[in-house]
This record gives sequence, structure tokens and C-alpha cells, in this order.
Amino acid sequence: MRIEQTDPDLIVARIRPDLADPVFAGHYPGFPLLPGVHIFEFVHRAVVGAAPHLALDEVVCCRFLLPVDCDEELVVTVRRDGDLHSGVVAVAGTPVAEILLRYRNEE
Amino acid sequence: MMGIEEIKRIIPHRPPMLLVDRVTELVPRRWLVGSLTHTGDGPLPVSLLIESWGQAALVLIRHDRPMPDVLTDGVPVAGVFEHVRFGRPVLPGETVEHRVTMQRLVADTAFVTGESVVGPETVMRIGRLVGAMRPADSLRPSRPAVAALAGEAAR
Repeated sequence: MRIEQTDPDLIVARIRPDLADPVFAGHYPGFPLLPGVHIFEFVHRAVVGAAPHLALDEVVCCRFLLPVDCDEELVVTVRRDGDLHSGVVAVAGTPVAEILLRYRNEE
Repeated sequence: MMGIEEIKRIIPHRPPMLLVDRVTELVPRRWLVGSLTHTGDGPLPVSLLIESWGQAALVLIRHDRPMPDVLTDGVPVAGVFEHVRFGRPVLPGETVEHRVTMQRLVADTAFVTGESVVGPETVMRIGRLVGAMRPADSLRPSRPAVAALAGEAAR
């Protein structure tokens, strides 16, 4: 994952899953699809990559809008509002997931 | 009691993404207790904890309509999960027990809720997960590299 922009209220990151990742052998045999929880994980990693002192408290809502091929580049955009982080994950400009996470400060 | 081979006959996930290895209680269309022993290094990522619970839920949803092959039986997809709260992490060697309760099943769309525990400690509570089935053709990866890999694996 490459974090391209981070400031107190905005994080932008890019990631392209590796087709050779063994995860795709099991999800699913003959039909590699990026697991939805991986999309959630990308948002979470973008947040804690930019702010390692934060610990995940709650997935308030995670909504998957479209399936994602296993080699498509994803752009993760996260906006912070207090303890809430609102993430949108997009492929080629089209949102594929909307994710709202709540973190606690462990500093 | 259901072991990993029986679970593989019901859901399409396979190692390293088969994340439920035992079912100890199942009341059809009502509830299920399943488990995973975490054999990896370091704490189990929360994303995989959610996935593991979701696979236990899928066993409950589909045990009477097995779907071991996504190409012929359809693809399970998560639509929404919400109000998922976490306790302490699941550590290597620990067995996490998933408790799943069916709220509603409407055609191929299921609404489930529950929790995960390690011994007496709750490590995750799931407010609600909504999952559905989709024909593989409606989700078929379009990129040539993916299509080629899918073709190889199918042979």
C-alpha cells in the first residue's frame, strides 16, 4: 500500500492486490475474487499507517457496492471527523465500498 | 459435530482462506456454533476474524443447500456488515468460537448476527451482516489475466 497524502483529516492511499497472492487460490478456486474483508483491511491499514496511535473500536458500517477483480488498483480515501473515519474505496473512479470506522486514541 | 471436510462440502472457501474448521452445534435456519484455531503468527487480523465468523454464518445459511463450487453453485457475497465491535485480539494457538444467529432469510439474502469468544472473553460482537448469493456469470472477472488464471484453475 502506498500512502500518497496524509494530513490530520484526509488520507489517500493506493494498493494493487497481487494476483499471485495465495489468498486467491482459496477465494475462490477457479474464480479469484478480492475478499470484501480485504477491502475493509485496506482502509484500516491506511488509517493506522497514518496514525499508529489509533486502535480500532468499531466497524460502524461497511457497505460493499461492487465486486472487485483480483488485480485492480484500489484508491482509498479516508476523511476523519473526530473519532470516526469515513472511507471510500474506488476502482477507476467508481466507488466499490463505503466504510465507516470508529477508533480510540491509545497515546 | 462437523469437521473441515464436511465444511468444505458446504462452502466454497479453501485454504488459505478457509477459516472455520469445526462446527459443534447447528440448529437449522436458527443458529450455529463453530470455531477456528488460529495457527498463524501474531494476532489474527480483525479482517480475518470477521471473515471467519462470516464463513461460519455461511455454513448455517447453506448447510441444507451446499455450495462447494462457486462456478456452478453461485458466489457468496457480503453486502453490509455493521456495528462490529472488538475486544482483545485472538492470539496464536487460541481457538475462537463463533456464535451465529439467523435473523432473517429472504430468498438468497440472509441477515445474521452474533459474536466470537475465546474462552470466557468476547473478542468480537457482530451487530448485523447481510449476505447474498450471486451467479458467477454476473460477477465474472473481466480482465484477461484474471480470466486466464480462472481458466487454468478450472482445468
